[in-house]
Amino acid sequence: MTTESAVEAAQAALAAEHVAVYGYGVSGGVLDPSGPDAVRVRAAYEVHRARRDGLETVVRSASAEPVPAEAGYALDRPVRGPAGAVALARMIEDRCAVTHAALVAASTGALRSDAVGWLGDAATRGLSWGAAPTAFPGLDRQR
Amino acid sequence: MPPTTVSRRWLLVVAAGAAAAAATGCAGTSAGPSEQAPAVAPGDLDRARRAAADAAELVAVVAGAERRHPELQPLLAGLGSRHRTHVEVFTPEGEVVAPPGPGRVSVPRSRRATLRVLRAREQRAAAAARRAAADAGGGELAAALASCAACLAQHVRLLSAALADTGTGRS
Repeated sequence: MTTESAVEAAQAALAAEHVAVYGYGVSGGVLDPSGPDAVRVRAAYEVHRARRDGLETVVRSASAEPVPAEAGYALDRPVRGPAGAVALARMIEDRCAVTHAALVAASTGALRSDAVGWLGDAATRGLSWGAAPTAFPGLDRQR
Repeated sequence: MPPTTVSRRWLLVVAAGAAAAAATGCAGTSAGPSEQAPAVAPGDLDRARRAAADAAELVAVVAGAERRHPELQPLLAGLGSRHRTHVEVFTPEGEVVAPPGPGRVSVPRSRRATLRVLRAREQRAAAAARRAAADAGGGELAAALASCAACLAQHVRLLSAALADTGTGRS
């Protein structure tokens, strides 16, 4: 059984995944497609797309309507080059870590186990984009 | 055993995360500080104690590695600091987590071997924290343990990168 708070947290995580899919698309657009960062961006894009699909299934299985993706998202700052693309990737993973930590708190069972793994992935992926390590990723997020 | 005051430190950590989530428009957690410490789910106090003990052991191992290999201090200082934060957060109030005795911490002479030992310890602790997060009765403790596991996974990455930087096996 998925509780109301777990569904709410899954919806928040899904919304963050929509932003991630959009944001990695933007990042990929400004990088040299043959460069190593572009390869990593494409890999991250696929991970987040799969996670988005999985969260939609979770929400539907609780008889709720998944929060839809918006046509576009206002980014914190324009993404004009490689540095901006990497900064956007860091921001994406940071926000995903926050929502996945909240999902861990609100869920149980398999969904919680998945969220535990997603939180670890967001923390290490953020690190790979240059984020500073923290004692409690997703909870003591960098501001 | 004397009665134990339930630590609310992990609740405060998770509450800070909930505030961060709210600040970014990410709703979805009911975790937050309450006026009274909630009842602790069966087994959760022991899970927190184990996490604190694992972190205390890592503090000791990292300190031993720093003493033997001062050149690793720039990397290891951060690891040790975060482990100390984990000890503080997961130790129930009124209790003390004793660090392992000096004889229990063995550090290889080789820098690469030391990095490998540290990485293996961080991996084991991360796996234990993930399991504890999955099993925890309380959502707040689960989130704190999962986040601790994520931190330890970051340490594994940092140590792997340091190992790669040390080249082809010379110590």
